[in-house]
Amino acid sequence: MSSSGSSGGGGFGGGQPEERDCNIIERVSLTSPVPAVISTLKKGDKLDVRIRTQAGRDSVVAHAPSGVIAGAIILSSVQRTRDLIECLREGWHYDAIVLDIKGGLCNVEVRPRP
Amino acid sequence: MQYVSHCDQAGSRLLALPDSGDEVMPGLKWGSAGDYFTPAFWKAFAWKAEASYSPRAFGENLREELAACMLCGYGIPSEVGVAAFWRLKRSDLLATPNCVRFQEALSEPLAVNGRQIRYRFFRTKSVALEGALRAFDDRGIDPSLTAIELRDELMTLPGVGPKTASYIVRNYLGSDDVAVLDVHITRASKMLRIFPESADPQRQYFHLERLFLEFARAIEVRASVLDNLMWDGMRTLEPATRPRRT
Repeated sequence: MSSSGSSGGGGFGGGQPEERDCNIIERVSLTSPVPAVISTLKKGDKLDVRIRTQAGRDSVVAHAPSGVIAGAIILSSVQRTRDLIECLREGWHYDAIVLDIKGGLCNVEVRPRP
Repeated sequence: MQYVSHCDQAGSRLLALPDSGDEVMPGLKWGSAGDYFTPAFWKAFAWKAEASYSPRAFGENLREELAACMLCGYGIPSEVGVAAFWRLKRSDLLATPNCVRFQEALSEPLAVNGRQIRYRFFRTKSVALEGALRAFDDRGIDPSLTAIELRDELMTLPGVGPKTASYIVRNYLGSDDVAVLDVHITRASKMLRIFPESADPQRQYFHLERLFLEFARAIEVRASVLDNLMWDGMRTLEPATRPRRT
């Protein structure tokens, strides 16, 4: 995926388009966790990873078993985050499994739903 | 405060950012780190991945960096420009600039990520590259100049404008005193509203660069890292975040 007119970039370690791999397994912390929701979670809970459309833009969020948003999911690179969005659109389903909760932060493992 | 944590092989780290409603600059709120392309998002991503986005030179010296950055100029995806640079370098064609030989080399498709891609504008680029390299050789630009002095010198070369000169300086010196205001950085800056909608780097390069550098300082991210990160984020992630009609 190269865009025309995109001079100026590169000169760093990235910039190489990669094949999309939807077998995404990655440990991350929920970004912007919602304290009132995080406090209801426990280790092993499965959060539903979904696309949220807000203010004209799609992003990825994790829904608690109660259905409310627990926080946002941003993976380790922009490419992987892009892949997650595209794979969700293609029909893949992912869980974010709660690994631990410390001081309002929630570490999860994102993985495809079996 | 809002918190972002990151876990990698070095262990777990925590970043505390101001609340989303706090101002990062007058009239500009931090936003949430979970909302793409907000100041908090860029700050958080830069914090997580600074090493990946630190600038690196394509060439082994300033002269080669000039050639590489010119070949990545307007309308040329950077992967294609870099492939063109490597073809000329490996063929030892850069040593003695000759637009005819450049044209011959660049007229053949380039292998880029497993595909054969034609280098657009190879005739005009070849002429411009010969002119710039010859002028560079004639003038003997001192590579130990400061970033701004070096950019000013590079801009005296034919075919080298503020963006290309900044690109060379950023890569060659790893400088945070310049910004490469391409279409992606401009779009990201407009989305942030640090640039007005009417912003046009072709006409207002140095004014807009100052705004970008002020923003980088305000979120305490190296300008060179932010520049690379925004470039990657806007070309890779941003198109995927546009809602699809089903």
